[in-house]
Amino acid sequence: MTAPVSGLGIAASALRSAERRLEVVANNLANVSTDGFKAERSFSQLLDAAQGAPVITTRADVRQGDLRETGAPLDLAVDGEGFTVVSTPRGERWVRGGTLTIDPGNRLTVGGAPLLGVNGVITLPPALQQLTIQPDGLVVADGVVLDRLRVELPVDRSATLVHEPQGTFDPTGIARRVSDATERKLRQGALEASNVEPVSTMVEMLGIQRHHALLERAIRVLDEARDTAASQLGKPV
Amino acid sequence: MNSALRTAASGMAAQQTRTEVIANNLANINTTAFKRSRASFEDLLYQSIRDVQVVGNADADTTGAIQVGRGVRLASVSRINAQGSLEQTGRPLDLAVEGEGLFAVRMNTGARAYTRDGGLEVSDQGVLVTKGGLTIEPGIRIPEGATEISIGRTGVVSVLRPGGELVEIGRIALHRFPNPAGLLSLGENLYTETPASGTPLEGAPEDEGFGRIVQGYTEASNVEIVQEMVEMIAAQRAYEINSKSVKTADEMSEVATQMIR
Repeated sequence: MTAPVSGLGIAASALRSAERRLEVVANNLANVSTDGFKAERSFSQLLDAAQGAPVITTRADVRQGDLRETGAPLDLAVDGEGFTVVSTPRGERWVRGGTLTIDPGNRLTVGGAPLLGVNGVITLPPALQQLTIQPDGLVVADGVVLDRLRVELPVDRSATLVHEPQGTFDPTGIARRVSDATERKLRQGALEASNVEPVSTMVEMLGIQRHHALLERAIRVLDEARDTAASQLGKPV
Repeated sequence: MNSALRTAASGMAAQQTRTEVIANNLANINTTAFKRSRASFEDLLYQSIRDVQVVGNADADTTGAIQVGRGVRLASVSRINAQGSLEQTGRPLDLAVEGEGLFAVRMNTGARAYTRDGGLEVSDQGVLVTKGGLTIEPGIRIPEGATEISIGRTGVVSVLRPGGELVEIGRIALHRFPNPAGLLSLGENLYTETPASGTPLEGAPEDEGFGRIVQGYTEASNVEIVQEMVEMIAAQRAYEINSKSVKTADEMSEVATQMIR
């Protein structure tokens, strides 16, 4: 890889970074009312001083969104840290609860993927009357304990989680542990709202726009300098 | 840059759908036994521009991933099957279900449908039908000359024969589904079974898990105006915010385009 060392090259790659950051912010704002959504944050990182322009990296901000009571018995929110586990064709994925559904096979699912308990997929009795999910994760159908929901979290809280569609995260390659009974707190009849803060995100967007305009100005100035060099230096004195 | 535009547009479309759902809830604020719906969304595919990687030599820093999401889409519009309040009408053929359970009706196509709207009528054949003229199942025929139809909390229908004799002429059944949210709305307060709802379980009112019948009442819509208005304000603001993303993306590409003059 050849490092862009010219001022113009640096400004152009920074311009591209600003556009990337805008894309991240636009996605956060688009998901301002997506339940369970975790905002993606972008950071600038100066990798190599010789390279000049910073490289952006992103990571999911897993801070909790506001919980709101819905009263629907199949809404489930995780209060505090931790993720429930679902089984997808791609492997196990983490999800912050959500609206549960019962599929034709009477399995408890989130977004079409079966929710996993300690003993695997949770199948409900066919003539179910009342489903209770206790704060410690016990799934009780008509007074009979079926299973305990798996709630997991990364050992290293600063681990980078890979975002996937439908509010899921890919925990592959991350050291994970089962949450303790004391820190586990599931809330039935509640949903976690998106953790995007509209105001600060709009301010961030404004900052990106200004930065972008500044870079454009820098490119113009550099170009004018070259123009001057090209048109003036050649002139006979 | 275009992708930021598209992402923001997907956000605007999502909020538009949310508003449509809210508008439908508000339009049905006086519909008997109407159940409000709620739109929920999910994030779209994430493009991994770069995975977590180690650059350069072994003791170099690990660089983070770059993941850029591509917007939002409607995940589901789910019905909230909470009980509506019961309103007294005093009409003997108005039935409300307090608790779980739906009435079954036979549609003109021969298929079965289910409803919570128990505002019944007597057809020209003397059969109990819904306001839409659909026969309720099992069919109940009111004998000629009968007066004083009374329907008990367990669904037993009895009438007063001429001569003052009280006779039982049938029993109204209720049906419940493993996943009532999976029922498909047909309009006219009717629902039909789907693979998602599961197969219906028939029972009599007041059986274990079934609600009871209340005569002389109808179930009101479970839409709450205040809640819908708050939702509408939130949807409008979110729509506006996404339109600002569109504007910003557009202005930035304008600036980029003006570099060459």
